[in-house]
Amino acid sequence: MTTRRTLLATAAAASALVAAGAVAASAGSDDPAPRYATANLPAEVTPDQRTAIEALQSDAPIPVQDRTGTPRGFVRDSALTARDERVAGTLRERFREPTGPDDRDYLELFEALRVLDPVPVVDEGGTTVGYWTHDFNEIDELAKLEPEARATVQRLLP
Amino acid sequence: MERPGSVLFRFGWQVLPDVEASMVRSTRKAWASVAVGLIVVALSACKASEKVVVDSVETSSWVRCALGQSFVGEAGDDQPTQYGAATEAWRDYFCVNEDTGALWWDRLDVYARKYHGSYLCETSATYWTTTSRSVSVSDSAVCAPGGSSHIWAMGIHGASRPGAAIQREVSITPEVTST
Repeated sequence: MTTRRTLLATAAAASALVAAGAVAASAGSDDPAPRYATANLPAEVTPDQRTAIEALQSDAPIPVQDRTGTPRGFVRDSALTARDERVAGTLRERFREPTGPDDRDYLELFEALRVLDPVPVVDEGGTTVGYWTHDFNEIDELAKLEPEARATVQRLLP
Repeated sequence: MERPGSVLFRFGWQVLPDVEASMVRSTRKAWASVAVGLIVVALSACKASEKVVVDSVETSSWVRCALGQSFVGEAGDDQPTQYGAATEAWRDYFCVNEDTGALWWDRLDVYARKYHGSYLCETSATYWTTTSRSVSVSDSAVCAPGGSSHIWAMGIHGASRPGAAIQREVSITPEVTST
């Protein structure tokens, strides 16, 4: 009898421990994990850098500028990352890994695939004002780049 | 010849082959430690993100090793160096696997984004590898022609394992003023 009571008490204690763990875990889940680890960033960052990092973590709109330095709209990190993952995935499956930072064929193909899978740049109202390849492109600019990009993909991808 | 107002940025992941042998010898001990650590983490119901801290070593001011790797060392501080009108700011960072000699990761990748003040002005291609060698980004471009420009680069390092989400780390270069 004593043994049974001891076993029941042990089981109850174990259940309570599991339940407490579950409650603690669910309480923790209210605080979403950061999208990027930043533990070792410098202690002192500039306000611009702090804002950029916060935009990464919250996937807030990131302001972009064109080649003249003029502000042109916004992109989100999730869209940029997803597109670059698609492009890198295509290169992994159908091409090869880069031989170094100056691998011309790899870079040419990467850029061609980015042109064919551009990220819309939107204004504050959500209207598309251009596209992001490796930088900002006007809508009609991108259309002119597409034929050459297709030719590059045809030439380099089996 | 570098173009005015440009910043050269480079981020590196490297594995030192001669260190791997000693890592293999201590594998059993390491696995035991990791197992105990994981049990403690599970019992204390910590979030998955906190497990990263258990497995990694936080010693670098710029980047840290990915999940499942150990910190070995890093190059000395490289202050931004001026090459004509361009500025280079980079650091190499050395990590080894805590695995039994097989690659712990499925692949490593790195890419960079260049900012002009608070504005994104250029993004590099993604460089990746599935082997034990470095992955780095090295690029330069003009973000804002003419005048004084506050330019800096953000490096994003990814390590992925089969069946697991990609673990991403962010590092940044100092802000550089180019004229």
